[in-house]
Amino acid sequence: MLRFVIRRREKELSYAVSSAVAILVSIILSLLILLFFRINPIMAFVKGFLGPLITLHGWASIFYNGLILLLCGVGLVIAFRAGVWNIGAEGQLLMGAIAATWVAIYLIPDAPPLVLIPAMFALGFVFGGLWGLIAGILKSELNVNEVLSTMMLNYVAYQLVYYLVMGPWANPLTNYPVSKPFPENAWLLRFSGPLPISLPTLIIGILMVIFTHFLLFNTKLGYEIRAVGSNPDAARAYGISQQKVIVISMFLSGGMAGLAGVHAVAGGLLMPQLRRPEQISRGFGFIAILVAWLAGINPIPVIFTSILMGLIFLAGYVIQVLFARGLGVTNVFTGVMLLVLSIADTFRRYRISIEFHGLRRMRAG
Amino acid sequence: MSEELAVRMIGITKRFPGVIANDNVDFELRTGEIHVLLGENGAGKTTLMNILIGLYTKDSGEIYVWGRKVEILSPQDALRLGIYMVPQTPKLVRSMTVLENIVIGLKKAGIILPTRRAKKWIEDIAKSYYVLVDIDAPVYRLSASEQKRVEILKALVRHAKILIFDEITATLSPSEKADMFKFMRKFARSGGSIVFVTHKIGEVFEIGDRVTIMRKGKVVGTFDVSEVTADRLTELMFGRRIVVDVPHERAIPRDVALKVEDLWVEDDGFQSVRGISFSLRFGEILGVAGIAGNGQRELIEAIVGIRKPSRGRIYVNTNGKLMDITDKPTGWRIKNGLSYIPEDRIRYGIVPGMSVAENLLLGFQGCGEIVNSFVIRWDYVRSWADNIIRRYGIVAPSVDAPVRHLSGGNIQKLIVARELERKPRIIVAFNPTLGLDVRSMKYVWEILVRMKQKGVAILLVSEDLDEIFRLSDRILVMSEGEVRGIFDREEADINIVGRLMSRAK
Repeated sequence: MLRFVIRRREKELSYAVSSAVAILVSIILSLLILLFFRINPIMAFVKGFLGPLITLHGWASIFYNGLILLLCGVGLVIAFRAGVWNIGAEGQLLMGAIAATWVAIYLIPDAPPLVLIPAMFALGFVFGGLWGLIAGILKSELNVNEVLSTMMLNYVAYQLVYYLVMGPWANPLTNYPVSKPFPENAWLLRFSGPLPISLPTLIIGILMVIFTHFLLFNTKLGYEIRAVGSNPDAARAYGISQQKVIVISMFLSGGMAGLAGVHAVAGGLLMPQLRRPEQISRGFGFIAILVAWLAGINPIPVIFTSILMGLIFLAGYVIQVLFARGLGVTNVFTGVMLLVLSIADTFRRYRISIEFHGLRRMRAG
Repeated sequence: MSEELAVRMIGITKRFPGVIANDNVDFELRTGEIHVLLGENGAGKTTLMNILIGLYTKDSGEIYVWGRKVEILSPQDALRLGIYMVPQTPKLVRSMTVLENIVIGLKKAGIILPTRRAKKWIEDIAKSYYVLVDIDAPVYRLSASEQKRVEILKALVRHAKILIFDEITATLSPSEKADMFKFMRKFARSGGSIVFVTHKIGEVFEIGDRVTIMRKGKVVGTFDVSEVTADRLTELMFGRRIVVDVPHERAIPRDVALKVEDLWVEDDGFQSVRGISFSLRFGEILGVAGIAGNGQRELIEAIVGIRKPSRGRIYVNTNGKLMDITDKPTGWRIKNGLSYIPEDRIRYGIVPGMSVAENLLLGFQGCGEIVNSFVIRWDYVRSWADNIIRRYGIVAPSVDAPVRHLSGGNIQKLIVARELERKPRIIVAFNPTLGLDVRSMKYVWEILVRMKQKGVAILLVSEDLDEIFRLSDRILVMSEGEVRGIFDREEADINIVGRLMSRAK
């Protein structure tokens, strides 16, 4: 009789290895899926993946996507480390975008950039954080499952943005559902180096990665977050408050997604203004789950995985535009990657072999 | 017919990391008999039965079923041989009806589930074995005992000839238990064989034809029930009192350290602790003897502060006065001199994904030398941890190694070391040597005795009677969440204590 035998590895493979293999395999698989739509996978690879790398505009887009993913992803690292499954980065991001719009257009539109931009990010953090906090408090006080609550709060945020751009914040000069443009002092790309990449976001992003690393591995709170996430029973038995950890980690996680939302509306090549929600975030809050996971739920590798996912996301988008109108190529890419990554995680921890028990029985009998 | 062997297990050995669960075990089950497998928790009964139904693979040994040598690799293999285990907690699909649960995976039931013929057929089987249950009811509406009946029906429908009951009576009322026994006798009379796994000595005489006693992974005897007495079974089950080789001196009476008053604690809607009162003095070990699942876990969790009692108060001696700590959080209790050595050391004692140093830090993360305004001083922690593992003789590659790579004995040493480093005034130890090898066991015992001599109050809750008798100054016997008696060790008799423990009311 043939059977699969699954054994735990003595020493787990590192995330670097499993993630690299997972990315490679999922890109190949995704390109092969394109064959079904009579798209040449090699052409698609060249145009989609290599194309953006040789143009300035390409790099700008990679980093625009990548920085959103970096901020959402590093926030998710905190939540996931606490064992809180925050699926709501998308909604928290949108709340950050709302905060940025409020600050830039209504609160202090005439402030100089040195005041305006920090204020946008600060309030973006608070809005996103409070959005996360709702789910955090529901979980810590009433034991409401955070996967469901954060997921549903995404839709609430989504509708809130819609309401604002169609209603009270709609730009009277156009019929499109957008807000008025931000004042020029709020345009993040005005502060960029030789590449059109938002320097303020880049700096904040790197700072958040360093902050998160320090928080998790060098502070009492971070220790408590990791203890609760890894063994809540033991943490409780030695006096660590699970409630506190849940609430704080959801606030920080949501706050960082809020920062991403500020960048999403004010840091791109498009005119900075509040738009329809699907134009602000095309599922970045969900792709960030992959970013955090590919990084092995560690803050520093998020820098690499977020930029890489920025490229993959862009590649999917380019292929979609050039070869396959109407086909959700980015969805194919991320879907395949999610699948491959979950399989890779099993292989990382377990050795899987096939044994023939029938033979042994024959020998013994 | 009755002399024919249904099952014969020879020289079964099964090792788990750090423990030998079954050590060269022989076991025979005759056709048509009800065979009681008796032993304490951790004696290896369930492991042996899990090997028989293919949940575990044995390391060595042979199994014969109906005289034929077999390799049982999965519960499906076992079922093909007619062997079925009625699980401790029923494994049923709660949203489906009884009938649907029974026919799941059954080839004979047909493709469109469930046919009227299948229903009639199952009802007939149920009636002929007195297993009465409404087979159209959804499972979530059934009581625990009705769910067990469904599990039995599943076995009967699958033509099981050898039934294993693992601690089946734990949640049954007396009348439900009587019904269950009625079924068992009927099943045995019509040619089936039953292994009845239990730790209750009384049940041996209620239902058994023969009894096999296990202790610490070994079989220590098999008897016809008519030829054996309860005292003899107690002695075999818990072991003879061996001369204590841990230094023991009578405690000098000192102040009360911990006082529990009429404590009631709930678990999942069930009153697990029912009005327990006792006091524990400094420089004394109070042993709480009892069989697993009689409220010890809930009692301890209330004392440590993980579980809120539904009634009663807990007092702790602070600065010479008894202070009500019933509503204080766990962290406060730890800071004020309470140390906790938990039962399930992997689940409650350590964080497996963290390093040795990080695990030693558990509960210390707020201390002044370790945390410098929220920032952990890792250099200090690592040298502190290094010092601890050297002083306590914990074998670990380094303080940065993941704690899960340590052996069971060393994990327990780490927990004990951490708890002693708190300079505790009260230690709550729950099965502190369960599953440990002899050397680690002696190590833990010696430390507990030394702490007692230093004046620490120790509450030792253990299922190991031998341990209780070796270490305790006084022994509290607990059963069904109540105190059955408190004895000075000198006047305590192991047979009486054993019987009080295993006697249901």
